[in-house]
Amino acid sequence: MVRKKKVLFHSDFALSKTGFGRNAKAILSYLYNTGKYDLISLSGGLTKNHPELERSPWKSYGVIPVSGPEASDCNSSPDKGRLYSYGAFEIDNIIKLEKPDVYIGVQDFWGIDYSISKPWFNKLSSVIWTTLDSLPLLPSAVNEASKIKNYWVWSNFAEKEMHKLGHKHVQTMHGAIDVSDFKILEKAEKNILRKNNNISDNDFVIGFVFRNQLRKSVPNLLQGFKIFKDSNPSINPKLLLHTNWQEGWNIQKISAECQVDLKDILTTYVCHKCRQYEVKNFSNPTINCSKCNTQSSCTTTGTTFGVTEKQLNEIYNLMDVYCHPFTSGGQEIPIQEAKLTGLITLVTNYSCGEEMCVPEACSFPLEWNEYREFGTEFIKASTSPQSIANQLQKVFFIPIEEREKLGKEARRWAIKNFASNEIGKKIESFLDSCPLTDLSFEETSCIEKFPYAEIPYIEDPKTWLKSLYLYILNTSVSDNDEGLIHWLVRLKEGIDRKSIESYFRDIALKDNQKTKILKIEDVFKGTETSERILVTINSTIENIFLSTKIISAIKEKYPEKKIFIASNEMCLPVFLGNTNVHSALMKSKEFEDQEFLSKNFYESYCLDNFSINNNHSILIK
Amino acid sequence: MNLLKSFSATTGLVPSKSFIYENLYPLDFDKYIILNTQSKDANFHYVFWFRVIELIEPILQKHNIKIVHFIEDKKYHFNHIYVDSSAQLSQQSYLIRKSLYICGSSKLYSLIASEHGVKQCFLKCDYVLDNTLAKEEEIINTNEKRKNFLNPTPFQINNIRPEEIAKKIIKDIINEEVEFDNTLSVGKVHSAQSLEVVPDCSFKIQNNSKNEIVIRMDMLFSEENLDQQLSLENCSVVTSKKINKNLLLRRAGNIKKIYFKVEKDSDSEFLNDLEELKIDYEIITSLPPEDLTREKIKYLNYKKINKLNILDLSFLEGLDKSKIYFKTNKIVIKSGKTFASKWHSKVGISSPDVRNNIFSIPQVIDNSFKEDADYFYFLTKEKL
Repeated sequence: MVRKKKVLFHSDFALSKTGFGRNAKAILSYLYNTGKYDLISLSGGLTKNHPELERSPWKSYGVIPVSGPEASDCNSSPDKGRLYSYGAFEIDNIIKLEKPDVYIGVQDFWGIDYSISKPWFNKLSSVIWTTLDSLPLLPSAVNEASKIKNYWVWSNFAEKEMHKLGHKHVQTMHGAIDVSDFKILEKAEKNILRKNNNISDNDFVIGFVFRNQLRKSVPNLLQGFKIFKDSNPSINPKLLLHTNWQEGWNIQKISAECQVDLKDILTTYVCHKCRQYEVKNFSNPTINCSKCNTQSSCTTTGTTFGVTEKQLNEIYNLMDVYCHPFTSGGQEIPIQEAKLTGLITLVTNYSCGEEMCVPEACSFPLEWNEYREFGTEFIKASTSPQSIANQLQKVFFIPIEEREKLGKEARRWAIKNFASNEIGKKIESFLDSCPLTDLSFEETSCIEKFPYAEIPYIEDPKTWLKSLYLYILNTSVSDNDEGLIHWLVRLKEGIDRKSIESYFRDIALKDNQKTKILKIEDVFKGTETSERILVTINSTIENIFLSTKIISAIKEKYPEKKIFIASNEMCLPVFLGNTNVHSALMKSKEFEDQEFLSKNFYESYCLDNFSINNNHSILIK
Repeated sequence: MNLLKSFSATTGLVPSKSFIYENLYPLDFDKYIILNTQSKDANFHYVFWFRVIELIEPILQKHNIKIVHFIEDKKYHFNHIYVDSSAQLSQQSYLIRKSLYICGSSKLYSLIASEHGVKQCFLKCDYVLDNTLAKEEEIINTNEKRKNFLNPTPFQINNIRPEEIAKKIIKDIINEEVEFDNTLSVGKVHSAQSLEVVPDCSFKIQNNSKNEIVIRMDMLFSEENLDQQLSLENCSVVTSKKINKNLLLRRAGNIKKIYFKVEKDSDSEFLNDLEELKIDYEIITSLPPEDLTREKIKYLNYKKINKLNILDLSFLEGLDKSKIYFKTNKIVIKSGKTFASKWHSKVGISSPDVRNNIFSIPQVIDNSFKEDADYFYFLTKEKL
């Protein structure tokens, strides 16, 4: 019998509430229900022992180490932590362990690009399925395109641009949405919902569901809302901002600046105790729950705590129109969710928004002006407040029946293009075309770093930072590298160059401890070869303890010699205070090299394989 | 051959004295033994220390000998001194040197004890590399299962019956031969105190907050009696079927938690009602893994499915059943009477004070007894 094809799906954990997580759940559930594949999920963002991993009917692996040297390494810097969280250091292990036939990496490009250079990448049927949201496209994503045989992007916007650049094999694969969660409620149900949330039938509710972050154009929306309200004094508009008021944009402050009365702004509060929600005016970060009467139990929604999909569907059904102004985005799932609930959507006509504005999608495009993002020089959109006001007005004056008709068409379009069944079918078809694979592996080498490299004086901060990457970490980074952007922001915030440089040097030193060739002159300074004895032991703490008995014997034999120990991290508490030991070092590859040992030590004892090497007698092994 | 012997054979050097730096760790008593009662590595973590201590402590107290625990971070309820992982190896070494005795699975502590000539009981778990210095008589081996003793973990250290350790400690320290009833099995949920009510009637239960009252709708599906019982007090409910939504709505305030038991071809729809009504719930199952995997896809939108443990009672085979007894912290309530197990309720053997009694096992063990067995602590008076 032919075995099932094994598919490794590398993305956020399928039960996490991120866009990637929801896509993973939709696709993996679809593929699971076909019964055709052996599915493995490498689940970004989860620790290796996370109990949630057991919940999926397919095998799920976590990526973040919880103990040992890996965990220390993971916690050593924000950049490292991020890479661990993406699964960059676990992917090889899982590939070796599971030997999949197909690899599908689904993430922002910088969260997945390390896979492309792996020796297994082109031996498997590998897919990179990524979000590219701005022009010019991320240079690394373009440069690597020719190496990626199956290159999928979440939006047609990126496909078009890749084709223009000659990469005709890049194709659009939308993120999948479980459409069963979102539907158009009956008029009577909507009325009850409005009543329960003290929203009048006459209120014209303009909704925006978003994570409160820089790329969501909250100020533009507030300005547009103000223009709309002032131009239509007979209309009673309300702006429903389903977001977290404790992060990102200071909505209260901008509302005041735009002269938008907070009474016209609604938001969602969720109770941490009874989990019920209420849509009402923003008043405080935490408020009492009117449902279960608990004090200070309600907060606005966020990525870690929010409403259920069913509740979110109700919130969309409170709206009369959905408005999504943004600078750029990979897919912007709330736009499709809004369409699934029969709303006319107003969307910035840039990035993935272009696709939302095709005629069949029944969106009204929002005009925008170009600006460049500091540090990356990407084109970003600043949505025109006047356009927002104009399109709101247009929607308002469309007769209700016509609005409903457009809403239904928008829903049909969203289902056709984003439903998990539709996307799942495409992926199923791709998987069926992939061959079974028999994978073999080779060892890879590590890159040496230069913690003491001289850094030239460079005025320009970006070039200076790049020089740190190049000269100290022995790697080059693009302008869009997350780490580079992080440091540029920190510099802008006032951190001094010296601290950053020290940080880079520290990272290089630590990395080299594992891989770098030891510089003998640094380690053994002040001693002669003839007086050095080496004892290497790379073993358990018990054996390291036992080695102190051997070291005592060696010291008794050679009281004048200096004993160096090459061991591992566990040796520290054992050798601390041991007067027989001159220095204890981390063991590296050189201590296995017979020539190195003969050249640098009078005698050396390897306690791991019971051998001695010296210059004055024969090698015993 | 251990590291030292191998090295000696290779080099001709005779290993000398070990070296470990010591730091003072002050205690306000001199006579003490050390028990290494926690290891974060499950391979070295012994789970029956509570029983060992229950047996040895009264005897040690007569001789004014205290107990010091070497732990990582988990303290027992015993009022002893706990030395956790914040202590340095140099301090631990000091304490070992000053102690009367040490017992545990740590090879390092055993080596330090051997170097200091401190008597020990080493629970030997690692047979890959023979690097201990303990004498044969100081070792309790773990590589063989004990007769009629159930190791509740996959780790061989828990093959050791706790009475074996207790007897050795007392013999080594006080030179007394003692006999204890032998442990056969300690159920994983033995320590949980619960009252399980079969809903064949309803009545007000005298309860203290330590007990969880659980209504077993999976044993008798009576919505009428459930409704009545919930009108009297706060309870949890186990069910494998959908319960009427109006009943739940009416009694939601008195439902502590619902345990939804997943069976073959289950229907997850009921969980939507629970979520809508904001009733706390857990999903449980005793399905075998292959059946469970088929059910998991239905529960992706809800919570993790927790697996129930059904105890394998083969450890009772070959024993004199008349000498076996068990203790339990779970009380089954049926028709207003209290029982030690579902089996006892079935055959009508009630007991007014279940927790302070010991119970014989049935001559013929059926499913009703097996399903409860993980709540029991089985012992025998037989010498093994």
